[in-house]
Amino acid sequence: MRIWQLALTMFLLSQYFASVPLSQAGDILIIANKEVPASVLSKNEIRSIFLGEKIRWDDDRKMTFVILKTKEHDEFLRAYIGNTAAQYLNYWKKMVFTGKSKSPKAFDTPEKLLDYVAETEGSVGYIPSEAYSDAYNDKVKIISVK
Amino acid sequence: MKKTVMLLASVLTLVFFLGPAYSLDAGNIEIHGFISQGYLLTDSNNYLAETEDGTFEFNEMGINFSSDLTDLLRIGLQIFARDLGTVGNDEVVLDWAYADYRWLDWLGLRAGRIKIDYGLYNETREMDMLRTGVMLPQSVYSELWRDSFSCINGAALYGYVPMSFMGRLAYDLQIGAMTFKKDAGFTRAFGRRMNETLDISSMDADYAWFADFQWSTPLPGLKTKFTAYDIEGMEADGNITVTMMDGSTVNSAVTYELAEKNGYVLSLEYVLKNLILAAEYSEDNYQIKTDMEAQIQAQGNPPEGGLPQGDGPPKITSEGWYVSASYRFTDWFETALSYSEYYPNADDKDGEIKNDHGGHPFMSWLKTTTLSTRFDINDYWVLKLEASYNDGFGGINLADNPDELGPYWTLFAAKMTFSF
Repeated sequence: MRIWQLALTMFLLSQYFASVPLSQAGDILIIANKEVPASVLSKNEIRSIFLGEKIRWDDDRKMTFVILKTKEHDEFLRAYIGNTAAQYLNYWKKMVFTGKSKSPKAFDTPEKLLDYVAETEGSVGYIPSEAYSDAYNDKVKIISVK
Repeated sequence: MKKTVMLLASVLTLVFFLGPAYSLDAGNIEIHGFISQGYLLTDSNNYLAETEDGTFEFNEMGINFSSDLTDLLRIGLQIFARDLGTVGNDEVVLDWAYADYRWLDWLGLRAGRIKIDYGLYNETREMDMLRTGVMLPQSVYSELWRDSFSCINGAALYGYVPMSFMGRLAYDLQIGAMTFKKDAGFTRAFGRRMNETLDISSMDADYAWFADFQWSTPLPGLKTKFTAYDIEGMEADGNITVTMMDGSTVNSAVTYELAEKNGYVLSLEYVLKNLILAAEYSEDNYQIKTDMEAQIQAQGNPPEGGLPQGDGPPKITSEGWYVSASYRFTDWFETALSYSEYYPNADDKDGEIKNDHGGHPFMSWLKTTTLSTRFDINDYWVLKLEASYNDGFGGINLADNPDELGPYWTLFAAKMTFSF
């Protein structure tokens, strides 16, 4: 019985510590269209969104996620999805070649992604923090990660 | 039909020479495709084709079109052709075609021709570029059942359910009619299992269901999946030659009705950075309602009390499992090692029953060790080289092997795939 209690305690602690670096991560910012009803998302929710499992916001609006083709894509996948770029590409090819989904929209630069998110209702994406400036304050919102 | 195959191949070639993107966008329609050519060689025994002399009769090609009609409704289809020895012969078929109504995160409906969700890899077995190896482990994904277990014409309910700190659950419940071609898939395997002289003319079933539950556990990268299925009202018509007690032979039309045909797969997958560990265990059961051979023999010399009825032959359970590890060393190089065991009759793992019936004991098992390498030449081209060492010949069609079989044999497989 004590072993199970110890295991449970260690598991809960690992979950807590696993979440801390994310909420403090300064390298990658999760951004969304200004009209999106959420301001905070959990890591599980972010994973579900970028795997195409969660498709609606709380106000029932359609969710559209977008990705980068830059090196920050690898960092985002490592931090939030737990996949390598090759595994993530394979996952989406599986979805596409079985007809379950279309392939995610991908951008060459953070600026193009920011512009798309600013203009597209319900969209969500990620950028390197240095790509964000105050000029985008009225166009997109930064999502906190809990 | 050849014209259609040429058209399909031409479209794929055109895409290649035009300079491929990850996909083609024709307005709101997304287009993807793939084409692969393989080579198989065995040192002894013909495996799935005339492999002792080496064969290029091993290819696949497909192209799909899909579109979001509304926020909730998506439609698409994929046409597909393949060749593997005497199976397929590049006949163009509808691989999948369905409408997908995604109502809520946890509830969606698909209707049409749907890929069967069975184990970790059945849905994508036609798409070679989505895995490390050339061949899937035959213990769980038998090539003989491939055509029949590819698609179901019917409907499916599916969804994703978040479970807070317990991870995520995905489910997929499918029901519909399966396709049993006369000269391929399960039909061929069934005929050989029942009697060497049995020539199946048709096979059909009332309906089948598949239920899948996949749990992505709280441990990052670890997921487990359970698949169960049942095929109802399955029967096969054919002709059989039976030797009577007086030594004469009788040719008779027979109908095999299955009282039971079901099975399950337990799957486990763990992803840790570039390492993917997978293990699956499957069982498959079938039971014939009536012993047809006993009935025919009894007709020649009817016993008192009439023809035998009873519960028919005993239930046969086949069993298979494998473990595999794949590792991606660089952006362009990945390798995998797997070990697989398959027993067509789990009650005869040592081959004694087979031996008593005059067969080779080593036809009661298939134990395979496979080393695979994969080279991603670029985003669109993949080359794979693979070697398998096999002990036994269980669950493999004997039609390609009129001569003596060997208990130990090696398979070399190579495959080049282009996809976009």
